[in-house]
Amino acid sequence: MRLVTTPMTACLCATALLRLQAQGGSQASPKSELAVFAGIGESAQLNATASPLAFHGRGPDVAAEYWRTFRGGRLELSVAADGTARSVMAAETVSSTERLTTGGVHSSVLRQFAHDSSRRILGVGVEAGADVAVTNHRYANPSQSTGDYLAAFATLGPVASWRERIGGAVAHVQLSTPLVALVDRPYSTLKRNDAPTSLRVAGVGSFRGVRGELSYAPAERRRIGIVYAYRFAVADYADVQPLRTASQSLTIGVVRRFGRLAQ
Amino acid sequence: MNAVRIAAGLAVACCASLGVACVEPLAGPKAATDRASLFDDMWQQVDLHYSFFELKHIDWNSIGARYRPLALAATSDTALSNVLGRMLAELKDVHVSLTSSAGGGTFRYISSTDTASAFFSAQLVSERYLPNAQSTAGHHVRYGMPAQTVGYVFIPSFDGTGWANELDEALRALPHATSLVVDVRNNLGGTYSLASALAGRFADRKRTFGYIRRRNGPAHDDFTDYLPETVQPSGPAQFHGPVYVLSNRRNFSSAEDFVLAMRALPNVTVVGERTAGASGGPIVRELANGWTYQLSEWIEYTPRRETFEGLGLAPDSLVQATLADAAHKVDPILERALTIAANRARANMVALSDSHRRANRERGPTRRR
Repeated sequence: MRLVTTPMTACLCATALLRLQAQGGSQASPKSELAVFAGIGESAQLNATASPLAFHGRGPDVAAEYWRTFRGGRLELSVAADGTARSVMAAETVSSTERLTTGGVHSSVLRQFAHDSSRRILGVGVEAGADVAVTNHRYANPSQSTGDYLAAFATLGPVASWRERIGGAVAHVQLSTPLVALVDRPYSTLKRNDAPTSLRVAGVGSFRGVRGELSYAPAERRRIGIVYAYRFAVADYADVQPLRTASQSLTIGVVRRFGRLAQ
Repeated sequence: MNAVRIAAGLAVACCASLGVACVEPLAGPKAATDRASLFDDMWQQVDLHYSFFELKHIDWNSIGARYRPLALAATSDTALSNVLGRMLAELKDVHVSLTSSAGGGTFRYISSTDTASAFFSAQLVSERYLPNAQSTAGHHVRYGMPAQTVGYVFIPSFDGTGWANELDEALRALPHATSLVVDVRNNLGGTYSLASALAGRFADRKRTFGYIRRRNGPAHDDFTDYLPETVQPSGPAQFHGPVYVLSNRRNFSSAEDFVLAMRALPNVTVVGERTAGASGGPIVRELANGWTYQLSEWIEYTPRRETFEGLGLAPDSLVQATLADAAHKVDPILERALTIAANRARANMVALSDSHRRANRERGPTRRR
């Protein structure tokens, strides 16, 4: 349920922000953007708590992003939420299947190393994120047993961004990697009378990952425009029962720009 | 125009990456399916999750060392499944099984209670005690009136989900029952939540009926704290009259959870034999070749925090059915329950008339005009 509501909550928050911005839009500076994306994605995961097999599949992908500059463009804040729900299959000839539902919210604050009117803007900062994934695994035994497996991570780490203006368009690349994670991953299947959450801290020795986004907005000078985004994420949690996930998505979004537009 | 060209180029590149550059290899290498890998994976998963190593004094390392060479020497999938099945049987746990596609079907440990007859016959109950017995619409519950005010419901299995309302249907069809016999003999178990929901048809309030501790770490003694198991009122109405639950040695797993939950209710008396003592909550695992296996992952306890794995749950009134009973077409367990119900009804009647007499005496002689 949490997973389904995460992107929805993000959209609602974004709508509220949009209204606030609309009210104060005449003040010109600062700049902000709100974008909503939909597209297709691909996920692969090996969740050893459920199975020794890796599962893989494609399905719909949704995301929302809010971006804003502060202090004359020296600082930028972005909040992104995404969610997926897809059926994944094993590559091997086994008939067990998984239903993978994921959701996440990531927020980053970056210091920009060029003025926002420059052609090229580099930024470095810190990103905090929360990701939740529920795997519903259907075993190929005679009674078609199922088990639900949860993995939730709150992460903190550095982020870097590069924004390049090409004519009236803008391309943007952002990369982040967690340095520390707070992990909630039950030892086995979720059961009705489970113990309360037990959180563990994982450093780079046991939790490694990278997230990236490549986006392209062809008409930066319009209030409402189109933006294409390609995202990927890879994570490896070296637990007693390891968890490895990889995903990529290609989405197209509608962006609404507020404040002063690019010259 | 230039920007459009770049956008199109980017879109094509991204589509290509999604179509061609599959993320699948990033999730790890393909799982190995050679004999050693399959054996090691199963041995390790059991090592990580099985709950009764300490309680049953099982040396899993030495069992693994004994069976690994046999697994590696297996000349066919059937032979391998045989070795793995035999290794799992060393756990002496009816919740542990292996289902292979190698033609061997499902390997399961056969305990002495599996093979011993409980001398219970549902047909005998129907013919001798319930000539007008009926079944609910979904055929999960059979019911009737073996005595004037005593109702009877028979629940042969807790398999499946979503049919708890059939017990409501049976209870509605027994409006004259002031007490009830709930027969779960030879019920081998099924769905835990269903058993709990059915017990809720007799609950007056939320009560803790037992505890479980789940494996939560790699060491054999890594367990959660005691997690309470509760029964609470469920369904449109609850039966609060005296209830007699009939149990026998062929009650396993969720059927034992049902007996355990019913024992926690003040209006319930358990009559019959000890249950089988198969209390480990099972989980399912799979091997890289698609075979699946099941193992116990928790230890269940009574409200006094005593485990009953391998021991069973003792009834309040012990009655052992014998071959001679079966030969004489007598069901001594049901008869004991009916006798207790009749005695209790008689005692209640006496107590009621005594209290009326006392009340009349306290009121003094009635004045006549």
